[in-house]
Amino acid sequence: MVKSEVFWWKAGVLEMGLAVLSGYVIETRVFRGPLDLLLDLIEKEELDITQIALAQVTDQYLDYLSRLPRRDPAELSAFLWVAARLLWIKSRVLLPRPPLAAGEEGEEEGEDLVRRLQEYRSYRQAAGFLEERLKAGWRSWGRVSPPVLPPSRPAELEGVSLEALLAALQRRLAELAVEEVRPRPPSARVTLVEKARLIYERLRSRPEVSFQDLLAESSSREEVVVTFWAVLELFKRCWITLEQEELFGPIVIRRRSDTASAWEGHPEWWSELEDLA
Amino acid sequence: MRTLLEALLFVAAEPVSVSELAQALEREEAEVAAALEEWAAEQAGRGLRLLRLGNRVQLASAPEAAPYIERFLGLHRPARLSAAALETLAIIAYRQPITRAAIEALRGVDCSGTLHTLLNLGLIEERGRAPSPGRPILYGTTFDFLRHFGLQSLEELPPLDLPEAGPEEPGG
Repeated sequence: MVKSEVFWWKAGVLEMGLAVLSGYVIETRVFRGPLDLLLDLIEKEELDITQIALAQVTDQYLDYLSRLPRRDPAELSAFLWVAARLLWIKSRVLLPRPPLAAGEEGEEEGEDLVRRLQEYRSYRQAAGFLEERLKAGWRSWGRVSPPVLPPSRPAELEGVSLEALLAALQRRLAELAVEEVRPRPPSARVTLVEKARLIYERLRSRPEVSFQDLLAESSSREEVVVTFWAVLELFKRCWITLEQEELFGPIVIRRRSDTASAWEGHPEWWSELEDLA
Repeated sequence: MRTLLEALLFVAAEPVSVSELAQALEREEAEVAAALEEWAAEQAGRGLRLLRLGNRVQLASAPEAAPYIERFLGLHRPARLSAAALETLAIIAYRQPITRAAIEALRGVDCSGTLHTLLNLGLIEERGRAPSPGRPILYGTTFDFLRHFGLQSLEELPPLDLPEAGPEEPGG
C-alpha cells in the first residue's frame, strides 16, 4: 500500500516537472466522449460539479474541441452539443439574470447538464472499479464441458466402419437388383407418409433408430429412395436429429426431445407430407 | 441438501436454473434457493464459489486462485478492455436490462461499436426488448462477465454514488 502511494507521488512529480519544462501539457489521454472530457477538466481544477464550475471550464473545453483530431461526425456532434450547452450556461452565469419567465426553463437546462455529469461520474467510478478487478487478474472459471457420458448407441453398431456401411448398402442394393427380376405385386408400393410414420412409431418405443436398419428393411430400390426421402423430410421439419459420430460412420436417428409432444399435436404435419407424395 | 447441490453443480456443464435443481432434487424451489444462498454466504476461503445471475447458478473457481490456474492451464491474461468498453460495461452492469439509447444518454456518445465488441466477448447478452416504441433491444451482463471480473453476483458491485434524483427529466 505504502509502496504504491510512493510510486504515484513520484509519478505526479514527474508529470508536473514535464509540464513545467515544456510549458504545456501534451494530451495523452483519448477522451471517451464530451462528458468524460468535461469531467476531467472540472476535476483538474478541483471543482465541484456546479453550473459555475461548468462556466469556468468552458474556455478549456472549447480549446480542446478546436484541437480535436478529426473524428467521425456523430462523435463530433456529441462534443458540439455539450459545447453549445456550456456556452449557454456560461452566458447565464456571466450576464445579469433576466427576470423570471424565460429564466425558469433555462435554469433547468443547466441543472440537467450538471445532473448528467454527476451521474456520469458515478458510472466512470464504477468503470474504474471494474478496471481494478481486471488489473488484479481475479478471474474465475466454471466447468465448460459436461462429464463424458456413456455412449447411448446400441453396442451392435460399435466398430462399424465406413467400408462396412458401404458394403452393407451395396450388398442390399445388389440383392434388390436381383429380386426385381421377379414379378412383384403392384400393391407393395410404399409412400412417403407411411415411411415417416414407421420411423415415428419406431422412435416412440425406442430412443433411437439406425439409418442402416431402416435401409435394410427396404425391399425395393424405390423403397430405399422413399426411406431416404422420409428421413430428409423429417429432418428438415426438425422432428428428428441425425447424428454421425465420425466421417462416414453409422447414422443414428433420434427424436428431438423438444418436439416430443408436437408429433401428436400436429396432424396437419402429416397431411403436409401427404401433399408432397 | 448442500452436498447434493454441490454434486449436481459439479457435473453441470453450464449455468443451471434453481427450478432445474429443485426438479432434480424433488424439493421446493424456495427451499433450494434458500440453501444456495446460505451456501454462497459460507464460501469465503473455499476453492469453489457459487456464481449467481438472475435465477441461475454456476460453480466456479475462487478468483484468488486465478494466477495459479493460469499457470496450471497455461493460459494468458485476457486482453485488456478499452476505457470506453469498461464504461459501457459498468453502465450495463448497474442498470440492466438497458437499451442502447439509455446507455448513450448516460455516456453522451455513440455506443454501437462498443456494444458489438462486448457482445462478441460474451460479456453482455441481449435480454429481450423494451416495450417502448421501436421495441429496442435490452442488454444485460452474462456469467462470463461475473467470471471475468471475479464476482460472485451483481450484489458484489460497490454501491453507485448517484446524485439525488433531481426534477423529472424534461419531456420524460
